[in-house]
Amino acid sequence: MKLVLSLGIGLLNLVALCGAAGAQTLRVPRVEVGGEAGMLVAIGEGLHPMPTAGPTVTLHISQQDAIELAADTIFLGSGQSTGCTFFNTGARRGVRPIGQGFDRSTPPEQGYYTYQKVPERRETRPDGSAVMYPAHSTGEMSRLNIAIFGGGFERGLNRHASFRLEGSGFLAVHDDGFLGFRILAGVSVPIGGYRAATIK
Amino acid sequence: MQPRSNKRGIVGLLCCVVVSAATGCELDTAGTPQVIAGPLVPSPVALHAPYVWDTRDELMVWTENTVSLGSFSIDNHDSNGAIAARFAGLYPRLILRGPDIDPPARSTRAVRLRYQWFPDGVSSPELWLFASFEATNAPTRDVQPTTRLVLNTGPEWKEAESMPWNQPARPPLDVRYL
Repeated sequence: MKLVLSLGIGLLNLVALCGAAGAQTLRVPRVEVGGEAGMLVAIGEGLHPMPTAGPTVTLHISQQDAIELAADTIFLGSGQSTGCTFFNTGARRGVRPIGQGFDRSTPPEQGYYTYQKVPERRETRPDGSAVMYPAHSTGEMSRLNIAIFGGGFERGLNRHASFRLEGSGFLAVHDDGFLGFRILAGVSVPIGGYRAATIK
Repeated sequence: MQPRSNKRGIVGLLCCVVVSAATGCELDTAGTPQVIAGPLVPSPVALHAPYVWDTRDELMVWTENTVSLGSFSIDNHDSNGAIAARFAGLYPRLILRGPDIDPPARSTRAVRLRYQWFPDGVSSPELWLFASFEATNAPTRDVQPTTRLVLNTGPEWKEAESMPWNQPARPPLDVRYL
């Protein structure tokens, strides 16, 4: 099985969060920023773990719904500079109670983004001539062609931060199919802090 | 009951997902490859027939130049001369660089080779010979059009003609050398 991740992979991940309001609820601000880090493990000819990390931005449409954006990047040391970025977009429902958690569920599709810097290359031909290929970079944004499954939770730590943890498995359904899983943990910080409120 | 704005947001997100799922894009900043020409191989003798090399002097232009690689000799016992080459090892590598053709041989479609093959010890019944063209009208400068000739074992004289190799519908080439 060919491991596509050797070229570098980013994932476009749609995350849905379904929440349950607790007795003590908070008003969420319009924007939250944070970061997450974890491990992505591709299953090809063996297990290939790769650390991944990146920022997150949560844009609240209302007190119950939000769009979440994240960019998690991994770098692969393969002689050439290769990187990948995970682009996560998500919709979230629910309000954030301190000390209580949100259930997270993952949607059925995601894609990936690859990036590679190729150094200058010289190729000598049998007739003694040579071809110089200049250094260049390539990037590819895939279609959403990876099925994923998984879940997680998010817990408010205090008025200024919440902890998030998620895990998911994925299965690529394109020509060079592969499967794997990832585990991410992170912190989200509300801009302006959470404010006490009662949501009915 | 869901607020209307929430529904619009979710619908918008779903639309974004659908658009993303249907598309995908690639970005490549690769520049134009630069070709550095190899050594020249001028032809000091006039051919007795256009694009046919038979005599000892004509054939020596192929074997006695700075590019050709291998152990060759000219066999001109027959009325038609021939280049004799010995293949040794599992993957023998021989290079024969033809003389520069000026002006280029226009509308070249194939190479025809007249040959004998005397097997020496254990060998394959078939041998592939690759012919690369330096052409003024090649589709790309960095990749030389290449054809393949399949040679079969046997002491009798045979002819082989090249077949398209790396381009399925190659246009005729104006060849500067082979």
